[in-house]
Amino acid sequence: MDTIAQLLVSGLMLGGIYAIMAIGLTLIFGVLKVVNFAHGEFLMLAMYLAWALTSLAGVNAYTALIIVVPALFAFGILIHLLVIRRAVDKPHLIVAFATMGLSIVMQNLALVLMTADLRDVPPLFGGTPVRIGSIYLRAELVLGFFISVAVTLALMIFMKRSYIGKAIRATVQDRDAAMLMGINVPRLFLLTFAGGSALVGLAGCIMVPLYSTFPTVGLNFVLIAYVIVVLGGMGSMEGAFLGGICIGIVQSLSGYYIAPAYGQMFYFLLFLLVMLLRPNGLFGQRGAAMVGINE
Amino acid sequence: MGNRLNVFIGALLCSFLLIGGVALQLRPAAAAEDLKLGVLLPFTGPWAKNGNESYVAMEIARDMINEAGGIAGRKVSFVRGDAPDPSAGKSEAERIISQEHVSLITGTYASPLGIAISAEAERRGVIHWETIASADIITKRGYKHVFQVGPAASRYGIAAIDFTNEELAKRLNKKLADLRIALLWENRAFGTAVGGGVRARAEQLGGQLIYDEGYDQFMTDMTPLVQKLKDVKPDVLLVISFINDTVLLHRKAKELNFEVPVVIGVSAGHSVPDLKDSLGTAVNGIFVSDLPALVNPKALRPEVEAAAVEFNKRYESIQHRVPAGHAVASFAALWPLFKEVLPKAKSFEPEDIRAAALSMDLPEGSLINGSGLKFSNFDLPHDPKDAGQNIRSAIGVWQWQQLGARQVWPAKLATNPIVMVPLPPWSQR
Amino acid sequence: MSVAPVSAPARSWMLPLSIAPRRGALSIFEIVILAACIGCVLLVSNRYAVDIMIRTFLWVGLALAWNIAGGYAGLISFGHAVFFGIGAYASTILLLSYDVSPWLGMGAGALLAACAGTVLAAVCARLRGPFFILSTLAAGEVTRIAALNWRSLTGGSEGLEISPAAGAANMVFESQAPNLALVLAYMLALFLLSVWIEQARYGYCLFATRDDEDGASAIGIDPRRMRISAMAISAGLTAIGGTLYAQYFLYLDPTHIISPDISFQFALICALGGLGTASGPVLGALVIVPLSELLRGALSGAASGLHLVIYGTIVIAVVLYFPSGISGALARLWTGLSRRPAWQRSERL
Repeated sequence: MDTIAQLLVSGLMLGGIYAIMAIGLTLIFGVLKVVNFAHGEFLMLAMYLAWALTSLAGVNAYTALIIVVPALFAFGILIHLLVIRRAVDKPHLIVAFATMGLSIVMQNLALVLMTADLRDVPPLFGGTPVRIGSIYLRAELVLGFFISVAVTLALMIFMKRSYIGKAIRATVQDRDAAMLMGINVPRLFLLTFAGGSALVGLAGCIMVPLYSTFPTVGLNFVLIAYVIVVLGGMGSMEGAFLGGICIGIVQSLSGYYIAPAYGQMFYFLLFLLVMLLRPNGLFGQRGAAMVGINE
Repeated sequence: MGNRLNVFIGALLCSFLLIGGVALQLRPAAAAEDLKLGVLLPFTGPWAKNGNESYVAMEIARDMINEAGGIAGRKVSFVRGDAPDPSAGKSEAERIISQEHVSLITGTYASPLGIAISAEAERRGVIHWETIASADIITKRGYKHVFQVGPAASRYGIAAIDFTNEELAKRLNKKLADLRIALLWENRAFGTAVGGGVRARAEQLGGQLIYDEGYDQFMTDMTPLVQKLKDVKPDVLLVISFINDTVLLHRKAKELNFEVPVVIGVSAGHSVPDLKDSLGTAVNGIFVSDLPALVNPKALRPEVEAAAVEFNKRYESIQHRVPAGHAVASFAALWPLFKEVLPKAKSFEPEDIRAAALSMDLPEGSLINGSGLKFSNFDLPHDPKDAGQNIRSAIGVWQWQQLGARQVWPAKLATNPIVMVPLPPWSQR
Repeated sequence: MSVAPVSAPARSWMLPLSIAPRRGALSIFEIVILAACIGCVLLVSNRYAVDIMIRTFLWVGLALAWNIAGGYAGLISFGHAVFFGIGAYASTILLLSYDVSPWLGMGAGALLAACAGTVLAAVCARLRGPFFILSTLAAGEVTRIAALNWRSLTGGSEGLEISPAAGAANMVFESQAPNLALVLAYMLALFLLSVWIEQARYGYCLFATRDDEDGASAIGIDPRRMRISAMAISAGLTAIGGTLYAQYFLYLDPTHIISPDISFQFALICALGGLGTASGPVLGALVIVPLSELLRGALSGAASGLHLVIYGTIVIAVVLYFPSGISGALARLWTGLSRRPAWQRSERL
């Protein structure tokens, strides 16, 4: 009993953290309909920044949010102007490769500049775990989870109530119609890409106390992020959150009851299953996957 | 706006190309009479950290020998080849062998690289001097030009079990057969091979593995693993992991309050000096079955001890940390090559180098990690297909003490006694 | 390259992938390139250069195989490493365990891969765009992990090694020349196949399916069958390339063979060379493969990772500035140079 409880709760918490990473991606994927292969490297950049602030300025990773999130927002604007914007109206293969090239450049720039050494930040609260009954959790994990929940709720409200949120949802549903309704779609693209990047910045700050940072750290997470996005449905905040939780729990349970050697295989299989049975994901718009790009 | 961006991108591209061009020009050019050796290591890719550190160690060996006048009056120079994966490794080996006409290539750190690159060397009749890659198969293919200076992977596993049998069992007040041993191995080449050695030796000595699982090195969540280990309650945890997963594993163990009396890591992730930065004082008490690091000076010949001291001094001043096992092994493999093998060779042609290598009969204590140097040559009674394996390569167990590596086994290499058995609870680590 | 311009729908963010069916046989341009390749083969003898040529021509062939599914049928697959791996492993396992010569094993691998391709296409038939891409990626990863853990079959991460002494009957050669001849033959065969597809009814049906599925089914083409057949053919041909790779490199391990990097390389070569043309993959491979090898060779002496930074930047630049690829850019240049009024010149061929 204790075992299952531990597995479920840990999986849940970690899933919430994966979700933050995926929320940025689901926005980008949903609005711009581009596969951004450099998403993992954005995360890496955020983690390095958070680490740098922590070791140079002595702040903890959560305080570093204040700088990292705007920094990633700005970085998102930069990349959008330089790379994404030119590629958005081209076949999706082009964007995939442009971002792949970006990913290679970023990984290796990090290698050249920072070397391959692992970077860690000191644990919060002396590293003692939080204990609920017989379940043990790291403080940073719990904190990260609650930040994730808060941000997801805030975003959900934002998407429902604010003008930009509605504009985003409209664009996800039908880009042409949105334009016809007077939404400045190119400007929205810029905002969404930058906003998605900022969310990755947040994810980086939350994750840096839990994972070491090194140039290829993004690779471990980028595929998880895509699985979550597809599982939850493109463009859906609650979908990304629930998808994240789902993946976290699947990972936890399959690692215990089946075999840890097969690690990633289970959520890829889950991904393929979702693609077969419900391609739009849990909360996505019906027909999105069949059409791919809205025509 | 578009035009300006175009110009910007164009300028960025040009500057990168310029940097590349400059880098090309700044490569140190080897003089014609230099003794060129090919060095194939993973400078990029997932093994980049260890590849680069191994190279630093090799450069120290090269500098030390050149300062002493080189070999037969010729200075040693390296030709670098980046081998992040076996295919690239083969291509680079091909390039170095064809373009630079080297007689010997060395490296390669990881087993898949070692297997593929040494095959290429054998085909071209060039000597392959393997420093660390440990796959058993490397020396069992009937190749004549491949020399593996470091121990085969299974020996790491055998050492761990022997250590448990000889030293740990009595400290835990149990016989080996009664000890609950858990084996956790990363499921790529090294982990699999070491795991094989553990299993075989445990069976021979009557030990039992109550848990024996491979895992995917790129797992981002160690919870199920640690939870499973918690549930089986082992006395000894034997784990083979690489650097990132080692950190994640121990952190998760602390988080879930998984207590185990003994942890034995096997090389790789557990032997990296940076582990103390990631885990802090919790790292103390962990044993590591590995190439010996700093051994008892009495175990080494005096001139070898002097070389060891010099190497450690230089490495620390360049890298600002203690050398990891692979760095020590890289130096340990090259130094006797420079001091004993190549000087003895009649010329620098591969066949003469081979003859000199096969004539080596250096006792233990001749390499800075306590190894000797004697290669098999299809003459091992239990394995006639084996050639090029250094049957005197040293393997031992050291322990993390005071955030550093202290050799504790075997006795003749040990510098410190064994402490912290069983490990104290997490709150005290 | 004599083809008629295609009229495009008015939407700016969804240009159809390039090319229309071709008229006539090989263009002068293509003949020149092929002649140059053959010339290199005959003239160059430096081992390192020959090694690069073997890799390059192999990749030309592999990219052409991918192009049948990706360029002609519009099935952008990021999982082709699976078929590559099936080909390489099937022939190698048959050789090592059952003494079957790779000359035969090649066929077995191709058949197996074609089946796998059929399954993949059938499963993912309804998906489009990024969803299809990600599904193929996921399928690739599942296969890789399965191969890694199925040690009794694939040797796991220790890999499989083919002994260099196996002999010509087992497709292992002492010198590089026979390997070079084999990959050249592979490349030429696939090129001619691609050219044939472009002129045959099958190709017309594929393009119709790719460009306008509803229209195609309206005139009686079954898009599902077209897609599945294209994927199956592409898979089988890729697998043959896999066997050729295994027989040249003589060492396989799942992590590096069934890897996303290899999958990306297929698509990247075609994207950079020009999707959907026969000469696009040729040009793409001829440029990229030597470029990355030479960059690494030249710069691995300098800072670690520098060569990849440069490589990545080049990829970004080419992909953004030449979205129709190198062949598209060349075609534009050609039509730009020819005396046509501006309104008749088009962005793509």
